[in-house]
Amino acid sequence: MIYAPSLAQIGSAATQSARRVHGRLVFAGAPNFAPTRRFVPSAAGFPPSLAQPGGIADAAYSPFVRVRGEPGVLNAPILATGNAPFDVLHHRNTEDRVLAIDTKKMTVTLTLARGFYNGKPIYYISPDASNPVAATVERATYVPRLAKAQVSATIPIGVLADGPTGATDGQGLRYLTLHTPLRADATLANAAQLSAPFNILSLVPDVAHLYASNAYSPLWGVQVFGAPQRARITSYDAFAALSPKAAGFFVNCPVIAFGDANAAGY
Amino acid sequence: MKYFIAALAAALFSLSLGAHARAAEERILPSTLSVDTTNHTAVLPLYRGSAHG
Repeated sequence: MIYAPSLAQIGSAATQSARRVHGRLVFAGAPNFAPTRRFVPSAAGFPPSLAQPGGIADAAYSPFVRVRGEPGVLNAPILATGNAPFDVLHHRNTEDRVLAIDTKKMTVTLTLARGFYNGKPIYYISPDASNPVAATVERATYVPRLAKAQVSATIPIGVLADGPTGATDGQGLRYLTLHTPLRADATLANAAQLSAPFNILSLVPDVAHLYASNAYSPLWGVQVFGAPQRARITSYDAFAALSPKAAGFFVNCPVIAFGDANAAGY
Repeated sequence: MKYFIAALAAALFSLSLGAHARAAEERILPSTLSVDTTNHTAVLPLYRGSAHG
């Protein structure tokens, strides 16, 4: 686990309750992965003409869980429902980021989002969003309850609406919607082609001091800059200098790994 | 039954020195089993639970 003390401030309205029975969690709510994810870009790419998330949570569900009788808040997104076999091609009982599930090894393979932190590549997952359009774009679960999160439990993430669109320097929502296979279902076969908006993270876990007190949170408050930007932005300081505006929603995006300057796909 | 991934963040938790050391070496964070930077995928532990009581 990663220590994220500010999650304690998220507020009970944005968490769900659970109890542990024979070692397993029993959640109060759950997502429904049966809807078909649909995304149709507009002529400008974004905002889209249609965005319909493939996973929609019920009113009780949140990935942030308070377990009865246990301290703290866990970030434990539900990624599949029901029993095997799991649909990892069209995601009718799995989240749209799930590429494989091994119920013997008890592992899940997820498509990663790629972004930047302080000029360097960063990898994260994006399993939940409090906004349905963002959930569709991120192949995430739309979680209405997350909208009730306290801002003090979040940190900012930068998104360009109209960034560069080249094959090697693409960034932002226009690039993602018009120049990548965003409409396609994510599978192991097309994972390398899915690309990303290359968002700009303001803070990441300190690998050398993972369990020290810190300001990191996996819950991000989305900041958007809308004017055309013709060069990539890779640091949050540079992004903040553009005076972006708060988008008014949150995404659950835990950082997974750090890349170097030669990372593939950057 | 519902399947869910590892708890990736917590307000409180138990220290795991093994996971800490591995993460520092491989530049992947605890709870992540592997990362494929060619296909942009990660393998994480999965847990079984249930919902709606």
